[in-house]
Amino acid sequence: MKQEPAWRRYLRFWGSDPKSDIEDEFEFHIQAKTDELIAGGLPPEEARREAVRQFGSVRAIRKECHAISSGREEEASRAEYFAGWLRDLTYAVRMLSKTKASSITAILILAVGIGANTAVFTCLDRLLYRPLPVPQPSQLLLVSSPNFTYDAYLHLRDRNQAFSGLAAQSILVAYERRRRERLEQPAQARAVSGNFFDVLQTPALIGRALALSDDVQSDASHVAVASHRFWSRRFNQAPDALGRTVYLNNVPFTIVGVLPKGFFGLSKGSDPDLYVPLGALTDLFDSKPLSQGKFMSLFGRMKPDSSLKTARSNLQTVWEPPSRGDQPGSASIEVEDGSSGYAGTSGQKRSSLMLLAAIVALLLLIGCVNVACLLVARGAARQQEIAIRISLGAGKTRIVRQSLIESLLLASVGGVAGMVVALGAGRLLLIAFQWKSRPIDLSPDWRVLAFAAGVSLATGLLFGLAPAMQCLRDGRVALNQERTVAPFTSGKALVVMEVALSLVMVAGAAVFIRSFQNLRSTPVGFIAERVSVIRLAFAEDDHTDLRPPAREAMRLAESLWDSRGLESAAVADKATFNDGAVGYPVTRPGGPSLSAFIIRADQKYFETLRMPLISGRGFNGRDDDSSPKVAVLGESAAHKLFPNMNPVGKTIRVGLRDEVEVIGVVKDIKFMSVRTQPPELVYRPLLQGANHSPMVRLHVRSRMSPSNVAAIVRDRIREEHLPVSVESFSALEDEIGASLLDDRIRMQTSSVFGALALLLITAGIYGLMAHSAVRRTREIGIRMAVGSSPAQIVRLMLNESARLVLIGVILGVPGALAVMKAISGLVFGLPPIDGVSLAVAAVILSITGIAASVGPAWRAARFDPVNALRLE
Amino acid sequence: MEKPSLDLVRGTLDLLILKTLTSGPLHGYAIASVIKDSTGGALLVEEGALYPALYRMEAKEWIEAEWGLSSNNRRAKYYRLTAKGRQRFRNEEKTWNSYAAAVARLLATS
Repeated sequence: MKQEPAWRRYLRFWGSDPKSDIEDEFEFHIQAKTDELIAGGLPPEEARREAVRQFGSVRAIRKECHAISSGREEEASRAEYFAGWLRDLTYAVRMLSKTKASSITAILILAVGIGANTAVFTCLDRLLYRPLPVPQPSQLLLVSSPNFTYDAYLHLRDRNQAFSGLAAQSILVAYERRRRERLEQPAQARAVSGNFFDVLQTPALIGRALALSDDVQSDASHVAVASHRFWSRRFNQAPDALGRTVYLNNVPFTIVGVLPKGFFGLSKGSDPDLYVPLGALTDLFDSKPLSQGKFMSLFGRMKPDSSLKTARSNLQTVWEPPSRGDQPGSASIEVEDGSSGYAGTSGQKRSSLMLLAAIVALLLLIGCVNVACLLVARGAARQQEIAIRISLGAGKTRIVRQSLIESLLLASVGGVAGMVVALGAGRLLLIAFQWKSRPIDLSPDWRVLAFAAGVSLATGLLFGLAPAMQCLRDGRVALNQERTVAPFTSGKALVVMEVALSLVMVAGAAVFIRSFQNLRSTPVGFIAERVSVIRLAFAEDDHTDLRPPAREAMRLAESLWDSRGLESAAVADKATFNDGAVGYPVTRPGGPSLSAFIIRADQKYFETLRMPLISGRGFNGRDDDSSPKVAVLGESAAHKLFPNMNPVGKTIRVGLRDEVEVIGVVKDIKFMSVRTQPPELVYRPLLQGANHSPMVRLHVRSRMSPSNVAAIVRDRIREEHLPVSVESFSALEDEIGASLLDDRIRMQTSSVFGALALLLITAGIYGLMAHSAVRRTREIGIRMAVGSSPAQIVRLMLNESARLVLIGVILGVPGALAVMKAISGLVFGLPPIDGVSLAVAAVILSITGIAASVGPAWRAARFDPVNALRLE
Repeated sequence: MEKPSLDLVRGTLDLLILKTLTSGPLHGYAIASVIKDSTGGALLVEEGALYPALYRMEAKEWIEAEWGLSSNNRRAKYYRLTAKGRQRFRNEEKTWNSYAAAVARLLATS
């Protein structure tokens, strides 16, 4: 090159102008190109056009160059930074679609994991955590006390200073019922104080909500406000629903308003169809629930300047505990946060749901490890590609970023698919928990979406970490070394971790399965097999005295005694386990007293259920109102009332008045729960004394299925012209099974997810061993070349996986022990640390782990040694 | 021969530019021509990639620029290697060679 003459440098008097410098440079380039094209034979004008075309966008290139040279590089690099992200993203999409099988596997695993977690979260949120859909729910407080009478409520409402409003709702539910009418889906009504909707700040959608003026004990209180759901279901959202009449317990109520959509009152997982004033309770129920207490729950909205603490102390000062002696309990008053209303689930189901939340979280964790495994194996296969990228100048951060972007992309796709899974899983959950008929809305809202997004992001980062590290190391190794195979520690560590987590899961499942088996095999004191329970009711609902069809049922039972194929038939007022019962005071005059359940039964009951008589006699056909009052005691009731005495022939008092003679004692039976000790039971003849129970259950022992028995019973009803009908039927065994619903849920969910965990580790170990076989091709080739038999190669490979599984199992033991301790409260008949479950889980995992690696090991053993060596 | 992917050219472009400048100062057009000619037309450098790369390398002080006159007396901007650039070239060359050898070995086996 020639030096530019000095004078030309001063052409630009004001110094160099970078912009025109760039322009000059480009112009020179285009000129040179044009010259070349002309020399090649193109006409000058065409040559110039072609040169400009080849150069491309002068503006864009100039802009970029100018940004670089004028030191505004940050701007350019920022633009480049985002462009880089975009490029990485498109690259990630390309990479993921290239390795379809592993991407789809990963997405499926994530979809199931995220979906299950989202479904459980949705249920938890709907039933426990979500704030009530009313304005400023944080101002709401729940007030509880052992007993609130209506007067006590009024006293609190009018004297307190901390609340802007204090409302009450009755826990009694009135059903829609009208004489001589059968209703599809009868409405349920809840009685609430007149200011209920004021306190919740929820005005009616149409018409009006209840007001304090409705809260009177007269016909003026016979007004009702309908929920949006009921309005839609019954009236198809017709505006003329206002003014219509609904009969609750035969009392007419006028609908005066409809509530806005989404409002469900105060209790999660419920949605009363109608709200009626508290004052109407007296007409709805014969007794006077208003003055009796215990039937009301209170809540209020505190004044904006008030706090939970001041509200509590204020109410406690104002509160005067009932001073009458017959009101037991300290009657202290408690105030708690009411922003999310009353929980929609409690007790056993709540702990089952919490347990399920823990299980699905663990499953997602295992899934994460599994996906990480997949990605690491794939990442190792991409070692070369990464080495190229590094050598082409991609920085470490770029490589890690690329890997993380791929992981996050997978996680997002998995999250979206998880939302679909969540909808289905949520429905399954409601079925499993028998909440299908409850108005629990599972449609995702922003809370659920935020949860799913958060979980997806977290999982993406979690399972993206290992492959990213692997990428970095692989890249370094590939660049610097020639023959060394990068150690594959991260893959192995992941498998160990996965096995450890799975051990916890499988051991938990084993505990629940064993616990359930224990429950099923616990004797209940009677033989439920082959007993069908038939629920009977009057054929027409025109009996106003609520008397159960006991006489009719006994006639029916008698007519069945000689039926072919039926062993025996008996009638009682309730079936064991699911009909519920109320405790009655039972006293030995001058002796101890206790609270016992009363079962009213006929003469064949003990025989039909195979309950052995210990002493005395059972009932006979003559035990009715015209004969002396008698009772049969359960064993433990007999022991408590008559310690060291023979109770037969003695007199006891049942309830407040009935003096009855004990004629016999039968063995104890479990009545409400398999878990607990048998309760104290007293049996009375079905036809003796006032019968408060509205139910009649026919028990039939036979070899036939309940539906066949029901068919025979229906035939017999027709033949005998009895005014009864079969309401429903079931096997007595299923009744016991139904009482174990929560245990069954825990057993089933933990087994299903335990099985999923096993499936995941099978896939994980299979993938790892297949990958390991490929990595060790050369070693295997040498071994075979020097005389190793295929069997030895298989053993070599299996040794590797067995070692990993063993380490995993050992590392998982402390976790499994901790989990066993945590769930011991939900478990029946097992020690807090159940060695059998742990051993079973360890064996299952070991077998699964080794079985999963047999295939890859076998394939490794069939490598052709020559080929294997040539591969290197 | 197929035109190599843009990705590859961009990644190795710095190396290629440094290499062409080891024999003396050149202007942008000449750099592109040398790369094209000495690879038998296999590597085509696009202007949209060349000039930003030159400016970036200038900013990193691997090369420095000076205005001069071309063979046909046109005003042209010439680039030359700095000491830093020379060092950089040696490193890049080594890395590239070991990498290329690795790729070649891989391709040879499979």
